[in-house]
Amino acid sequence: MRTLAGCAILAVALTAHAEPTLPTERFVLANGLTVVLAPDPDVATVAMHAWYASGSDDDTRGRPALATHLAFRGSHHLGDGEYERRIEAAGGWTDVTLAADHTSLVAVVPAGALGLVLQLEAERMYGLPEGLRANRFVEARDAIAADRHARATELAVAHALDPARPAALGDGSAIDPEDFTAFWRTHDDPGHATLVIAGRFEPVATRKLIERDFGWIPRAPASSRPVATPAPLAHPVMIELADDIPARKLVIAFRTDRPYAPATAAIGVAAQLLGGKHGLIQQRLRSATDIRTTLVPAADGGRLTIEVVVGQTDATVMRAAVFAAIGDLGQADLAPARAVLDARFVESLENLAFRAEAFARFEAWHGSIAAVRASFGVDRAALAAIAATWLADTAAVTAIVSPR
Amino acid sequence: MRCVVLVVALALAACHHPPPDSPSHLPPSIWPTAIDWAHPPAPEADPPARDRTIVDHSLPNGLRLVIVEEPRLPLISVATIHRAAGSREDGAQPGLAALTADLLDEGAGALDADTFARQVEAAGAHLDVDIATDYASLHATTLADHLDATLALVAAAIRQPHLYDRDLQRIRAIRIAELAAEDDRPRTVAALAFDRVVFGAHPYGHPAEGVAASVATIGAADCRAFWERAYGPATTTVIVVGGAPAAELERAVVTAFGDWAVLVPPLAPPPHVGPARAPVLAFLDRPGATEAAIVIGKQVELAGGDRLAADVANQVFGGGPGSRLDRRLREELGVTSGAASSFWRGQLGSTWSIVTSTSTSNAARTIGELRALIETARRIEPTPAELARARSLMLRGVSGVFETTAGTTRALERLVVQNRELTFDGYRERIEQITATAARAAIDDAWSQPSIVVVGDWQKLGPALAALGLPIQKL
Repeated sequence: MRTLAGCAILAVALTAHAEPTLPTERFVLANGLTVVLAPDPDVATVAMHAWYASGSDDDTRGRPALATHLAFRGSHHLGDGEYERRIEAAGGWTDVTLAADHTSLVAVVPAGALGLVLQLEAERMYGLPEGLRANRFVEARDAIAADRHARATELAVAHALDPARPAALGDGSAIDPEDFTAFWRTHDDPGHATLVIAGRFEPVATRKLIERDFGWIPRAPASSRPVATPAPLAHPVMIELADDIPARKLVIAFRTDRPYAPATAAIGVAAQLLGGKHGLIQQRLRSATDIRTTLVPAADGGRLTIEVVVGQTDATVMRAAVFAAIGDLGQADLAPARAVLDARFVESLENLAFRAEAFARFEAWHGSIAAVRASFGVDRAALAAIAATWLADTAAVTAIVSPR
Repeated sequence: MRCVVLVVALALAACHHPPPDSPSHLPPSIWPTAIDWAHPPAPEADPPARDRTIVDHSLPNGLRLVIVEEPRLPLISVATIHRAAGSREDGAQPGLAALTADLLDEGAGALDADTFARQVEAAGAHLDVDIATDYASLHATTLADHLDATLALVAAAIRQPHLYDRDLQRIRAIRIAELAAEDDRPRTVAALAFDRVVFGAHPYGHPAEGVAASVATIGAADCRAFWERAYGPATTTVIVVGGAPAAELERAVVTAFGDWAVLVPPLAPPPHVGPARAPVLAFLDRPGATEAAIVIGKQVELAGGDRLAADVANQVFGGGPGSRLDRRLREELGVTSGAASSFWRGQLGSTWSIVTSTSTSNAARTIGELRALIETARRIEPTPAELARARSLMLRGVSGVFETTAGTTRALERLVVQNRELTFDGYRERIEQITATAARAAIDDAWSQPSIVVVGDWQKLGPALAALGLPIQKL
């Protein structure tokens, strides 16, 4: 009896520790900047994630893509490369990424350098267009062309999935500095941004710093993003492409629902079950090959891509194996996939850069740690349902990609 | 002609509404004057690191247990360290310890290899096996909810591995292929050759993974015999770090390992590595190679305060981007994409070495520069700025290690295998006490007459290297 009681206490203790304890504080400045503070006194560094709600889908001309290439090329008070140099000199790192519906800038520094990072980002948020220099502008436009070449297959498949959207990355050649500045002022202003600070910092002092550094930046007039209702592709699409790849591959892509929607959660578990060397697709194939599943979320609906290296094998046979594997989803053993997804998600929160990004996603896409973890608990019926709808043969873009 | 057209097009593009070459013409500013925008604030002193309570004791069966609570996330990181299972313990069969360790998670107890892998996945866990010269280790990361299941799998791998011949054949083939692939990586080849030059026939002189000729002769019976004499509670340390109370973590370890009563033979006295050998120029000929891999260094003896002074000196000298090596060779001369110095620390001996690679045409010059940099470092103390930067980077590096459960586990593992006290208390103060004089002295003592190992084209490099005046040893 004494042992049983001990076990009960231990079980309660474990349950009490089962959820991450990562408190956050949210506030919105008068100019519309949303701020999420996630202090963690147990670490020695701090991450800043600046999420700007303009991505490659928001402009046919490629101005968001141009902005990523100009991110560190100078601003009103800072010279070319000075943003990065100052952060690296403080012992940190920084990076900028472009997604379909947003652009992110992340910086991770030792705790004592948070003041530096905040001032640098405030400077960049307002002052980037004021630092445009002719040679850097031309270089950035060239870089977009290089990006388009490097991501040719991905962009072609994404466009086939949703022809109504602009060709991702746009065509930067038609942009001039006035266009760019106008776009920046109306899309990368405080009203379209979320600032997340995660790690070692003092919340009260940090809030004052943010108010001082960012509070004066003017807000652009409110703009309403057209709201699309995600739906599976109505008709199958077959395309043939050539790319700089070593061996022929099969790419099958599907639309997905909004982030954190039940169907998207089920598709996330499906991606885990389908991919990898022990996954359902591999089980349906006779010989081992490289299989990669990638889920790209976006506010108005994202995409799931399955890539299979086919080499000289008949791509039609491989395609049939992929859809047979999708048909297996309704009978799959879900426990390992759920466990892996849950563990990897919690593990990612240890990394401050990922943690800050997660809180930015939650703010933009209406999620939470608990909701994400709960979403891994989909059942077989949900998987069977998405297999018959979002991942149906008739809702797929199929691309055969050959080496150039 | 095509290039000219492209250049003209780019020029026209640039001329189309050209942006300013400087932002000075811009309209009146709205920038708040209360902030000095032209001079962003310098980083402030980092706050002190959080103290951590480390539980460290042995179970009745002799197994050492180290526990640290990290309550933020429900994650658990586990490391099991096996001090008798390192590669120097496998005597005449280099690679036996590594193959045995690799087989541990290829089926154990009632689970065959595939089922074992699926069970690991079902626990949401990673399971990795590492082999080092002085020890072998298993690492697992999982959620607190799966702690018991994960520890049960780890315990099964260590206590009841199948070590079947069919699994051995597969793992051995992979290992032999990996060893062959290493031959295509000149820096790896040079680093392995450096160990042979420095440690000779001592087990530290051969790679932990063995060599293909030796690995090919290892059978399942060899692995089982090695496992029986190397894996037991008395030579094992279990480190658990993570989001559960220490008592709960200990209970789980006791459940998994408390009844492990196997006796293993006492550890044999370690063989002496001997004194530092006379310097040589060792060369591995790669006819036609366009690149040369270079390692310069020697065996060193460092303990206590000397060790920390050497760490500071290394940070100044070759500890990554911004160090003297990096500034001179990469930034100023552009002869290499990277040059760094580092320690390898074993229980019986250590090395301090520089590793870099460069084009064949720059190899002789690079070696000359390295030798000059070494001599300068032996004579001239670090500047106050260099010293401050080195201290700062080291302190931040240590702080960063403790941000993840796996990082904390790895840091404790290093302390355990080096027989050091399990604490970082006072580290900041001890770092700050290291003077420029002590740092210079550490380099002066350690870097007299280093050996040089070069992997490259002898026909092109031989004459210049012969002029260095060191005895030449062709490998």
